[in-house]
Order: sequence, then structure tokens, then C-alpha cells
Amino acid sequence: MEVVACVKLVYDETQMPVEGDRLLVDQAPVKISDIDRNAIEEAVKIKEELGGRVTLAVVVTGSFDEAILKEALAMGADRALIVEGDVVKGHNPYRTAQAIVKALERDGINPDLVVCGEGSSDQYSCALPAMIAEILSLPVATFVGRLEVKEDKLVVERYLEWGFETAEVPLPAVISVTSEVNEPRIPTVLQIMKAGKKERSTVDASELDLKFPPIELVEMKAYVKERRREKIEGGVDEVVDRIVKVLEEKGVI
Amino acid sequence: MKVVVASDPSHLPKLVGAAKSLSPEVIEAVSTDRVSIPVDKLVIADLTLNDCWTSALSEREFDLMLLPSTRDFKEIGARVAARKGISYLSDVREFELGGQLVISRMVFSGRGVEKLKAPLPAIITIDLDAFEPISEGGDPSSVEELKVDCSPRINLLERREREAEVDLSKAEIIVSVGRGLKKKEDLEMIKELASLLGAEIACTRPISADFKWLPEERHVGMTGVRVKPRIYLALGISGQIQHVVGFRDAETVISVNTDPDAPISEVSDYFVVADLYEVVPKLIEEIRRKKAPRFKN
Ligand SMILES: Cc1cc2nc3c(=O)[nH]c(=O)nc-3n(C[C@H](O)[C@H](O)[C@H](O)COP(=O)(O)OP(=O)(O)OC[C@H]3O[C@@H](n4cnc5c(N)ncnc54)[C@H](O)[C@@H]3O)c2cc1C
Ligand SMILES: Nc1ncnc2c1ncn2[C@@H]1O[C@H](COP(=O)(O)O)[C@@H](O)[C@H]1O
Repeated sequence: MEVVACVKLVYDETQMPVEGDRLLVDQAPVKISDIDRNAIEEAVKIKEELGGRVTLAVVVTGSFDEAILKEALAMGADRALIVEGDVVKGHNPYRTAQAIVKALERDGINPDLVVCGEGSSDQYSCALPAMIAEILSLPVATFVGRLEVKEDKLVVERYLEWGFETAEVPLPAVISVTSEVNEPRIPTVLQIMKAGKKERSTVDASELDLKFPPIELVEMKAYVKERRREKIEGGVDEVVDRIVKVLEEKGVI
Repeated sequence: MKVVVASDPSHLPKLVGAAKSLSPEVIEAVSTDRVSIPVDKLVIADLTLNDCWTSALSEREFDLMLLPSTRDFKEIGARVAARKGISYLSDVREFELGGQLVISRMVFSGRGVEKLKAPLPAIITIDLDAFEPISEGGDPSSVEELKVDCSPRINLLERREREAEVDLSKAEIIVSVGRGLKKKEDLEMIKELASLLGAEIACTRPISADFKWLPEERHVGMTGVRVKPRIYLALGISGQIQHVVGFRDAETVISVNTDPDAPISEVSDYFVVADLYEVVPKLIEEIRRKKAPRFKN
């Protein structure tokens, strides 16, 4: 099986400072986009079961951190394909999807399965897997929460707002997974150290002849909602008294 | 300007409401059933699979296409945009047109809001929480039945609908629990508290998705429901951003957490540093006492 896992390195939104209405995006550390850990795990599990290799496809649309890439590789991937350059900077899912498809072509990789996360931690547009599938004219199943591989096809369960959908997906195919699909492994320090030696292919996006409608970032602001932030401490009688008062003030009791 | 809106009938009122705000020359709706809605044309097609929706919508001509930001339509919208090579933006909360399309959407799990500009034609999916359904009634000026010829790429085996017991988005008072709750049985005291307060019970994602102690439709947040109650009482919830976006529009937030530095302190009006296992029984007792009729002797 030639498996490709699409992995985005993002600024960690849980550690992103806010100053007034400014969101200090690039002061946050870099992490693997949360659900892409599940994507890598699923790709590696499939390889362990059926043989083959796993390529991590990373388009550097924003942040990058060598140590974080190593961590991703250390989860059991064989190689990394990195697309970088000014051309791919910023949010533009169609451009990113094309970059991945063309970079894979350039490296002579013809995937049996492309695994993405359901949505990225920063944008959560859930667009990329659908777009990769369209460019390659492949079947796609998004929001897969359960998955079984059967030789030349997958049986997937899609997790949707209204319920579940079970479907057979012939390979080659593109899927996106939700966090329910597996429990991502945590690589050891030794595995991370060794991951630096794994095969690496780096492409400058200007060599890929990408064609796409432009998307321009006009403004980025922090979303803040003012709260009283009154801290209530003390013995249980005291704090419960205070809660009861608040509930009374608000007319709840 | 021609705007095409498409979805199953349930979301059409919001889509048409959003489309009308642009006062386009033509609004066309694509749906699976006859609906009474004031559009210039209603196209009805027998569409069930995403593969078929994608084929049908790729055939339409438009300046702007509006879809709901549901999981299925986020896939369909992205596919149609890629097939046509046109702009695609998801989870749109506000939009305006002037030659180009300018939209705003949440990023970083709701930490930020970004404004993006893209050329027409474009496809956007709208955040259903950010738009109101169309207020005026009326019927489509014309109706067309469309035969879609679609060869699905995947083979649908089964659909199982989840039975939803509650719509939290309308709840006035919410008692919400997180992993501070140690076991399923302890939900009993939470239920008791909720019933005394006339509240609905909600939870964080681990409680429903991982532990399955409560049904999915009770989980609040980015991947769950967004609620706007008068009171949100958060018990044993750390306050990760993906959960916080779900209750951000609550009028008053009271939280109880043993950790004085829990991130939820930042987004609470009243942050109680205490053990929920001490607070909840005592709170139940106090409210009972207040509610009980008083006798003079
Ligand atoms: C893409 C993505 C989407 C997500 N979407 C959602 C979503 O929609 N909704 C959602 O909720 N989560 C979502 N999550 C998960 C989210 O990131 C957090 O993991 C989750 O909200 C944490 O739940 P929690 O607060 O219950 O648990 P924890 O983070 O483990 O917090 C438990 C808290 O309880 C406190 N506590 C422990 N014991 C007690 C006690 N006896 N009394 C009082 N306090 C106590 C602890 O101090 C701690 O703060 C998402 C994650 C990802 C990656
Ligand atoms: N820049 C990127 N490089 C590699 N994979 C990406 C990139 N952006 C998105 N993806 C993949 O596409 C999924 C959905 O992302 P998004 O469309 O941004 O919500 C992610 O979970 C990743 O698997």
C-alpha cells in the first residue's frame, strides 16, 4: 500500500497570546494539527497491517518547525514530502490541494490511499481532502470515525450531525478521519531522534505551476468576550452561598 | 448577479435569508423536495449521495453559491469548487460583495476572526448560527424537476439516524459537566441539580464521545452545539477553546473547578475554586431549602 498522510503544522491556538483585540498568532509554539495525529496513526496502522510505506505530505502554508516534523515522522511514517515557498503561503485550500497532488506526481508517488484529518486546527475548513479527491478524480469519504480495510476497498463509517453513514469505498481513495477513529501513539524520544534520518523530499512550490483563484487575508482579530472574572474562594458553605446569591440575582431561583 | 442556494429543505430558509441580503437579480434554490419559499426558481432533484450533489451543483451557473456549513455540504462545496476551479470559503459568519467577495470566519478554534477576500464566482458555506431564516413567505416563481445522472464513486451501505432527545441551542439554563466528573453514576446528582434549576444538562466532548455517558447532541463546542443560555454552569470543565466557543454567547457563566489556574477562569463571570463533589450536594441542599415552603410555629 502506498499511503499518504496529509499533515499540517500549525500555530498552537491553546497557547496563543491575545493583546487587546490582537491575536499574536506567530508567538504561539508550533504543533501538529490535532486531528492529523489521527490521520498519521491510521496511515501507519494500515501500513503495519498490509505492508507498504507511508509518506507525510506537508505544505508549509504558515508555520514550520523541524522538531515537530520529526515528531510526526517518528509516529511510524517512512518519509516526508515538503512543499514550501512564498507561492503556498496563507490559507487557500485549492492551492494547497494542488500543491500536494503535483508534488506527489513529481516524486512519482501514485497513492492507493490519501488520509487527511477532518479539519485543520487553525482553519477547520474541511476542504482539502474533498479537493484532493476531485483533482485526482478519486472517491472520497469525509469524517470517517471507523474504518476497516479489505484488500481493494475500505468499509467506512462517516460521523455526521444527524447520524452515521456506512459505505464501501473502492481504492484508490481519499479519506478524512475524525478523532474517534483511533488513539494516536506518542513516539519515544529515541524514535524522534532517529526520525531526523528518514527520507525527505523538499519541493519549492514555484516549480509546480499551481493555478488557483487568489484568497487574500484582509484582517485578523482576536475574538474576545468580556466577562466579570470574579474569583470565588473559601469554604464550601461560603462559595455555595455566593453561587446561590448569583442565581437569585439572575432570577433562576 | 445570480445566487444559487442548495441544501435539503430544512436549511433553505436561512440560505435564502442570507442570499436576499445581497439583493441579487436572481435567486435559484436547489433542493430535494418542493418547498414554499420566495425564490425565482426552485430546482428539485432526487439527491441523496454527496457524489450526486456534487455532479448536480457543478452543472449550475452562478456568481455566488451558498450552502450550509454541515459536514456533508462542506465536502460537497469544496468538491464543486475544485471541479470548477473557483473560490471556496467555509463557515462564513458575515459577507459582503463589491466586485470581490469579502467574508469573515472564525479561526484557531474560535480564538480569532479573519476577514478574507476572494474573486467571484465563489462558493461559500454559511455558519448556520450566524444567520436568521427569511421572514417573508412566498412561493417559487418557477419550479423545475432535474434528472441527475450520477455514477456514485462510493457504495452506500447503510444510514443510521441518531435520535436526538433535546435541542440545547434553545435552553435557557444549562448545567454542563466535564471530566471533573469521576463516574457515570455521579450524573445522578447533576440531574437532580439540573431539575431543581429547570436546566438542561450538557457536557464536554470527552463525556459524550469518549465515555458515552451522555448523547452526542449534548456536547457543547466547536464540533457540538453552540448554546446561548442565560446561565451556563460549568462543573469540572477545564475551558479548552474548542469547548469555550460553544458557550461564548451565554449571558452569565459560572464555573466550578479545583484548579485555580484552569483556563475556564478567563471566560467565566464567576469562577469558583472548589470541588464539585462538595459544591453540588450543598447547592442542591440550599436550593431545596429556599424552595421549601416555610412554616411559622
Ligand atoms: C478538533 C477538535 C475539536 C474539539 N471539539 C470539542 C467540542 O466541540 N467540545 C468539547 O467540549 N471539546 C472539544 N474538543 C476537546 C477539547 O480540546 C478538550 O479536550 C475538552 O473540551 C476537555 O474536556 P474537559 O474540560 O471535560 O476535560 P479536561 O480538560 O480534562 O478538564 C477537566 C477539568 O476538571 C477539573 N476537575 C477535576 N476534578 C474536579 C473536581 N472534583 N471538581 C471540580 N473540578 C474538577 C480539572 O481541574 C480540569 O480543569 C475538541 C478537540 C479537538 C482537537
Ligand atoms: N498545509 C497543509 N499541508 C498538508 N496537509 C494539509 C494542509 N492543510 C490541510 N491539510 C490536510 O487537510 C485536512 C483538512 O484541513 P482543512 O481543509 O484546512 O480543514 C487537515 O487535517 C490535513 O490533513
